[in-house]
Amino acid sequence: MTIRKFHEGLTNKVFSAREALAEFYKTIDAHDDEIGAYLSTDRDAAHTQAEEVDRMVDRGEKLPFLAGVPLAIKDNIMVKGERCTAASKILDGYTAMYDATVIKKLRNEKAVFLGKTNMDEFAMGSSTENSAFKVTKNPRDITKVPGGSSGGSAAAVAAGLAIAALGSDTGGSIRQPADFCGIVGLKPTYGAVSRYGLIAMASSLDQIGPLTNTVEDAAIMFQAICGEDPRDATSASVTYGDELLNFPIAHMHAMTIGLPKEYFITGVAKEVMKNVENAIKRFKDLKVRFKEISLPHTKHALSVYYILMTAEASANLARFEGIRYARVPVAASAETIMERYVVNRSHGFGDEAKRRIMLGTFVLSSGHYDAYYAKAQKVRALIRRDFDEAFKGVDAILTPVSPTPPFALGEKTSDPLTMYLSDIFTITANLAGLPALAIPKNFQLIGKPFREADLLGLGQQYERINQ
Amino acid sequence: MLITKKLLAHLAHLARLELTEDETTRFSKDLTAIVRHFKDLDSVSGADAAVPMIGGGMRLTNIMRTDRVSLSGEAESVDEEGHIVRAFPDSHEGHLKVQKIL
Repeated sequence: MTIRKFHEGLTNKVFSAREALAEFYKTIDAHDDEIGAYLSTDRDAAHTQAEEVDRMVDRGEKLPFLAGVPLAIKDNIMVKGERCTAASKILDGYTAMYDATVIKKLRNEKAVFLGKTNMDEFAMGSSTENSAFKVTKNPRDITKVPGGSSGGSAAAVAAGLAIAALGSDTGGSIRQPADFCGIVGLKPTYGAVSRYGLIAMASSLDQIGPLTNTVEDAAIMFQAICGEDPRDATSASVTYGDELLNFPIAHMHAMTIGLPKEYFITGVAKEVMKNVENAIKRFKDLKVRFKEISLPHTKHALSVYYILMTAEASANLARFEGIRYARVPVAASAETIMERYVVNRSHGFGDEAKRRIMLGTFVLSSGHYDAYYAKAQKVRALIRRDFDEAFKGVDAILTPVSPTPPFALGEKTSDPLTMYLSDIFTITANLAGLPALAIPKNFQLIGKPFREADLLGLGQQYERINQ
Repeated sequence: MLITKKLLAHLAHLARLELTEDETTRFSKDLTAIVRHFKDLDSVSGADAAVPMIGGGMRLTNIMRTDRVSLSGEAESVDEEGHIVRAFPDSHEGHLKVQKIL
């Protein structure tokens, strides 16, 4: 089911919003025990939202595109009155006291929120195995991981447990799970979507974006959530027009896509490479030109990313002391306030969160700051410069999303460095602040800042010839 | 660079964490491997003083706006203003309740 089909069904009274909602909860009850996509659902709230949409239908009012559309929301995005834990024990029991800006915007569009989805704790991971609460399985093969960190959102959409979902992407956390589950995922330009109400991991890299069945759905969702927000000082004043959904074909025929040689390397799984080459062929059928380019600092991206992201995460996670938000039960041994902080944090955070806090503390600590943090910031500027240079000659860049197909549950949990390497093709878009769209099978398009329309336009045409 | 158990204990103190013996052994191994990977940055030429550090993905400008008196947080009415207190895990007559500090 796509957003457009849902909209047509609702408008033509084939079904009511309440009927559709009940059907989705029936599917969730039947299948989510196995998949594990959701952490919580608030059925009364969803029912009230659907009821309001049905009243609009009865009154013959014009319905927004997203009216009544059942959505899944990653559990690090605040929905007022609903549980919000970022899949961490340290937030277990916390109820969001306000709506994130993206949620407020979706409410204005009359969307319906089915529930909150599983994720790696604080969005730290590439397989959703770092959740403190449960493991999510890949609906296409339940012995495999769904990817991460937005694995619950990706699995929900792929398994038909939601029409579309929101996730967050700090180093590939929307695109990689979308890729692993065979759906579409968009990481918008840094600043295109407000981060207000998103539990922060690495503030200079995080962006909220949609996971959907089709590129058109991603465009509809992006159009609904983008825009400047006075509550997020890094959000940008950019207006996206009609071209997100109606990209002129003539523009596309004049486009050139760059293929960075640093991304087409040995070590990428054959199956992935075959799918990427196939996509290139289909774009050539659409009269799009290709050109080899070079992004020479790519090989340093992983180090830069893991230095900056952990530094920012260690600072962002400093606020969780188990006293505000949700209360960690007091240990009898903790007498002073400092002891209590230490006990609460040590019990509240999982392995990966601790590992990243420690690493971030290390790169920011006196004596190591210049060698790691300051150096990484400079190399980040060089990575961005590579893209600026490349975009002088091309309109978009095509690369694989992940070097491998979905891996088995438990396969990489004991070796964090191997797990980190699965982010290798997705992190550069975050470091450079660029938009990137993952499309089945196995490829992503990276665009110029605030040119989501280029990616969504190319993607929608690609989708049409592949139907 | 070796992330020794001694260094790890120092970092844990800075991060307000207490590591178990098992965590110390694993993290020492994991962090050493990861920090060793960071060595590749040593070979980057051009990342000298002339390259500015960037703190965000985009080129940002300072944003100033006028102070405005409004309801606290996301409260939709004056009645709802108590929601900050209510959202806190424990409270008493409008005051936030925590364990004794002194």
